[in-house]
Amino acid sequence: MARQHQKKSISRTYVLVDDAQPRRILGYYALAIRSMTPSGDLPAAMAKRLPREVPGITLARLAVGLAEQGKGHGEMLLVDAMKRVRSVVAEVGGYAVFVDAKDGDGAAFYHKYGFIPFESDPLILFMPIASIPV
Amino acid sequence: MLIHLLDNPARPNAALMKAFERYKNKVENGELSNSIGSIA
Repeated sequence: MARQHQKKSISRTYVLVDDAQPRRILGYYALAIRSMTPSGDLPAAMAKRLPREVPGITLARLAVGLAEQGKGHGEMLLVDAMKRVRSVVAEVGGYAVFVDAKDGDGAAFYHKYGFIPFESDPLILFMPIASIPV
Repeated sequence: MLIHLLDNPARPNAALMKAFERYKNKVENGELSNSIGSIA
């Protein structure tokens, strides 16, 4: 599916490979354009300062192979994704990066790095682009 | 005439800043033994 989305330009998938064995995928993530409606999802104080709909980027399907977990690959993929998001948004604008966590553990991973859960669904989290380190 | 981008400063999360620092160190010290690239 990732390759089909890539072909249709729906999303872009990036893979982390073992340099010693380039065909071995250690983890991956995908990025896609996304828009959202702040009212109802974001904290009221934040939403009231935003237009009815705001553009952003979705960080989708960030995952690390079971045998490769606990080695810092997830963090490396997350930072790589955030750097790409920052670079894209610097050119075209965008308010936030969004993630759809698979479950509570996934949400906790993103929350640790400063992602804020939606008020309407704690498994959807976001981070304002301005909060991404330079 | 120069056109500047309006800045919107915000304080990044401490764990995220440390993660960026670790990533930068790995790249600069050549410790990044694995590569991240787009699928074809």
